[in-house]
Amino acid sequence: MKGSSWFFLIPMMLFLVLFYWLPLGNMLAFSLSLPLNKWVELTLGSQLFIQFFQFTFTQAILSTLFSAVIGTTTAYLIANWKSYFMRILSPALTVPFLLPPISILIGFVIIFEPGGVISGAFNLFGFNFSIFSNPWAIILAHTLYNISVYVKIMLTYFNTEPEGMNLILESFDGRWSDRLRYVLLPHIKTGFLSATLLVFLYSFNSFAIVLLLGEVKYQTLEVMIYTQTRVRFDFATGSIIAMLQLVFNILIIWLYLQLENRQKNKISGSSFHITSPNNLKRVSSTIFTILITLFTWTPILATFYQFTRLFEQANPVLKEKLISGSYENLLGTSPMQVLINTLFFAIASATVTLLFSVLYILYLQTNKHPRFQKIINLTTILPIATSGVTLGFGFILFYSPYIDLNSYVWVFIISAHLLAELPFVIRIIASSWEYIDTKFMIVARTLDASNWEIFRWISFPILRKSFAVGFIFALAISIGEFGSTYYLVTGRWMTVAAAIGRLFSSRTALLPVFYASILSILGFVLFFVAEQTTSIELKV
Amino acid sequence: MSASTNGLNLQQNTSKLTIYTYDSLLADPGYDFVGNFSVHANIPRNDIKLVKFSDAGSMLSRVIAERNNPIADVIIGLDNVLIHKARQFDVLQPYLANGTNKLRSSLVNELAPDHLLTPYDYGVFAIWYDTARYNGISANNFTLTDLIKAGVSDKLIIENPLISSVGSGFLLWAISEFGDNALNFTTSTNWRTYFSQLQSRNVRLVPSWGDALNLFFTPEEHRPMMVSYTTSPAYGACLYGGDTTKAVVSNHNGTKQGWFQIEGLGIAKGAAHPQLAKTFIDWFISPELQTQISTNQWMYPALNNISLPSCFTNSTIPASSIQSLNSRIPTKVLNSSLEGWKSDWEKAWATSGGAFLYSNLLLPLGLTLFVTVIILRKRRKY
Repeated sequence: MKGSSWFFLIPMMLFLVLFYWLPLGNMLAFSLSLPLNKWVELTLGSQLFIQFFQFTFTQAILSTLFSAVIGTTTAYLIANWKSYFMRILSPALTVPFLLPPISILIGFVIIFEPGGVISGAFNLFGFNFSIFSNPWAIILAHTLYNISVYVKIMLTYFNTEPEGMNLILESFDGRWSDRLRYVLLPHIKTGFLSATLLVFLYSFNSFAIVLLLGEVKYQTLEVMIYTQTRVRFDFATGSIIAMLQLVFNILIIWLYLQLENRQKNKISGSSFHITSPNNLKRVSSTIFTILITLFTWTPILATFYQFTRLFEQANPVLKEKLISGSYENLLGTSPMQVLINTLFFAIASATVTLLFSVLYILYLQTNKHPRFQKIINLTTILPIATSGVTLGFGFILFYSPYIDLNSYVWVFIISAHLLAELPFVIRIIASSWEYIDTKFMIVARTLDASNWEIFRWISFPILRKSFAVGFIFALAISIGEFGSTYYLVTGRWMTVAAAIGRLFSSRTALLPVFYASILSILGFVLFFVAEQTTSIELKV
Repeated sequence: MSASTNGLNLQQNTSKLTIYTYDSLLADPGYDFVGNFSVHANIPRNDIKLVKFSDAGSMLSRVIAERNNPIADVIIGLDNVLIHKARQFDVLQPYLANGTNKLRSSLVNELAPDHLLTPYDYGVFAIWYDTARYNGISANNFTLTDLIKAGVSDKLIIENPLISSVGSGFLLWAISEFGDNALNFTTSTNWRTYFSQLQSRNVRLVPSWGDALNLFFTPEEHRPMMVSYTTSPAYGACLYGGDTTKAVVSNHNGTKQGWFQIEGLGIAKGAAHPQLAKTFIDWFISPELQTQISTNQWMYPALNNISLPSCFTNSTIPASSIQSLNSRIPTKVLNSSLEGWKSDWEKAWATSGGAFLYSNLLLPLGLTLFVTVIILRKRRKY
C-alpha cells in the first residue's frame, strides 16, 4: 500500500478544487483585476462601507463579550457551585447551539413583537422599543444564540480544573483571586479564547439575523455582499467586500488553530472537587442557571407557543395548507416538498461528508508524511473561513457562464452544505484519530493486514462514535444552513430555513412558525441522539 | 384566430408557461387569471406555472440572475422605473401585443414605446392612512414635508426603494418634488436630508408593499399610514361598503401632484415558450381581464373605455385631477441617475441619526474590565 495514501484523498480534493478553490480563486482574480482606485474608493472613500465595516466589528465584539460574560459565568456556577438538576440544565443550555439561527430569530421576533409581553412592558415604562433597525436587538439575538457555545466549551474546562493545585494553594492560605490567577485562568485560557474566536466568527459573519433585523441601516459585510451582488448586481463591489471578509476570517481561523495547538493535551481527567459548595451557593447557582436557560430557551418556547396558538385558531383549510400545495405561489413548491428538500440536502451532504471522512481516515492510516497531513488539515478547514453568501456568489461568478445554474442548483446547494460541514466533521473525527494507539496499526501491518482491514477492525470500532456524531452534526448544519441556500435557491429546491426567510414578513402566519418549530424539533432530536452517542465537541 | 384553434396549436407546440409576478397581483378578493387563461387558451391549468415574489423589484432581481438561462416566459409587474434596470440587463424581448392600439396611448409611450413591456394598469402613489387611527393630515395643503413632523413620521411605513417598486416610486416622488442637481432644479429641501430625517424620526422601512400592508392592518404595530396608491381607499369602499381610509398626494397651491406608476408585462428574452407568452399578453390586455383590474388589483385599467364602479370612483382621487410629476424627470436623466439616487438614498438612510460605531464598545468593555479588576483584587479566603 506504500505510496497510495493520496489516492484516498482524490475525491475530496477534486470536490474542493471544483467547488471551493476554483470559485474562490476566480473571485480573487476578478477582484484583483479591478482597478486599484475601485478598492481605494470603496475601502477609504465609501462612508457606507466604512460604517458597515465598523458595525460588523462592533456588533461582533459586543455579541462575543455579552455571550462570554453570561456563558462563562453560567458554566462556572454549574461546575463549581454544583447547581442542582445539572444533568438536565447542562444539556438544556447547550441545545440552542444545534438549532438553526433562523428559527431562533423567528422566536425572538415573536417575543418582541408589538403587542407582545416584552414590548408591552417597555411601553408601560414609556419606551418605544423596536427590534428592527436596532443594533442592540441584533446583539441580543446573537448573544441568545451564542451563550450555549461558551457554556458547552467552558464547562469542559471548569469540570477539569486541577483540584490538586487548589488544595496546595489552600494549604498556603491562598486567596480566591490567587486561585483565579494561578490555577483557573491558566487552565481555562485557551478554551476561553477558542470559544471567543468561534463566537466572534459566527457574529462577524452573521447573515440571517442582520439581514432581517438590520434592514438597510445595519449591515454586516455578509449582508453587504448579498445586497451588492443579489439586489444591485454590482459584482465588482461584492467581490472586493467578499475578499476583505475572507482575509479577516482566515486570520481568525489561523488564530484559532494556533490556540488549538497550545490547547492539545491540556484537558485531562476530571476534577474531583474535594471542597463542596454550601447549600446557599447551590440554590443561588441553580436559580441563576435556570434563569439563563429560560433566557436562551425563550425564543424556542415562544415559537412553539405561537404555533400552538395559531394552529388552534386556524380553520381546517388553513391546517391542510400546511402540507398541501397551496403555498406553491409563494415558495415555488409545496410545503411538503420544502420539507423533503431539506431532508434530501441534509442526508445527501452528510453522507458525502461521512464518505470523505472515511477516505480521510484511510489516508491517515497510510500517510507517512506529517507535513503533508498538516497541509491537508489546513485545506479542509479553510472552507469555514468562507461565508455562505460568498460561496453562493463564487458559484454564480464562476459557473454561470458555462452551466445552467437553475437546472443544477441542487448540486450547488449540496456542495455549499458539504463545504460548511466538512471542516467540522473532519476535525471531530481527526481529533479522535489522535487517540488511537499506533501500535495496533503496526501490529496489524506486520500481520499483513490491508489498509481496509485495518480500518474495518481497528480504526472504525474506535472512531465509530465520532463518525456518528460527525454525521449528526453534518445533518444539523445542513438543516439550518441559510446563507448559501437563501442566495442560490430557486422555487423547486426551497428548504425550510430559506422558506422562513422568504416568509419572514408574515411571521405571524402559521407556515413560517410551523417551519421554525420543525427546525427546532429536528435540532432537539439531533442533539439528543448526539448526546446519547457521545459528547459533542465544538471545533472549527 | 379563435381561442380554441390557438389553444390547439399551443398544445402541440408548448408544454408549460412560466409566469413571474408579485404576490398581490389581482389577489384581493382575487381573480383567478391563471385558471381563466387556461380556459381561454384551452390548455390544462397545470401547464401554467405561476411564481410569485414579494415585490416586483425582487422579481426583477431573480430575472436578471437567471438571464443566461431564463426560467420565466412572462414577467408581470415591471413598472416605468424598473424597466430601466430591465433594459440595462437586457432581460426582455419586444412584443407588439394584439390590442395595443386600444390601450391608453400615453401609457404605451411612457412605459415602453419599443414594446418591451405592455401596460396593463396604472396608478398614482399616495400616502394611504386610516382615519379611524390617525386623522392629522390635511389633504388640501399636504406636502411630503408634513411626513417628517412629530407625531406623523412614527406612524408611517415606507417601502425599501432598493428592492420595492413602490419604494422606488416614493423615492422618485420625493426627488421630483424637492428637485435635484441632475434635474436642474432644487428647492429648500434636499431629498437626501428629507429621507435622513424620516429615518431618524422612526419611520418603519419594509421590503415590500405586501409587508407594509401586513403592518398597516396590524393595529398593535401602531402604523396607520403607508405609501400606497390613490386608489387604495376603494378597496374598503367597494368590498365593505364604506371605509375609514383615505389617500393624499402632494398639493401645491390647490394643484394635486403625484408620481404615476405604469405597470406592464413582457416576455423574457430567451423564453422557452414565446408563442404562449404572446397569447397570454394579448389576453391580459383584453376586456376580459381589464374589467377585473379596478376591483381586484385596485388600480386603473390600461385599456380605454373600461367603466369603473361608483364605489371606486367615489372613494378615490381621480387620476385626471392629478398633475403628473413624472415629466420633471426626463427618461434620459432617470436612466442615468436612478442607481446613483438609490445609492444616495441608502447612504442617507443608513447614516442618519449616527452610526453604531466603536464608541459603543467603550462602556461595556470598560465595565467588564472594571469588574475583572475588582474580582482579581478581592480578598477572599475559602
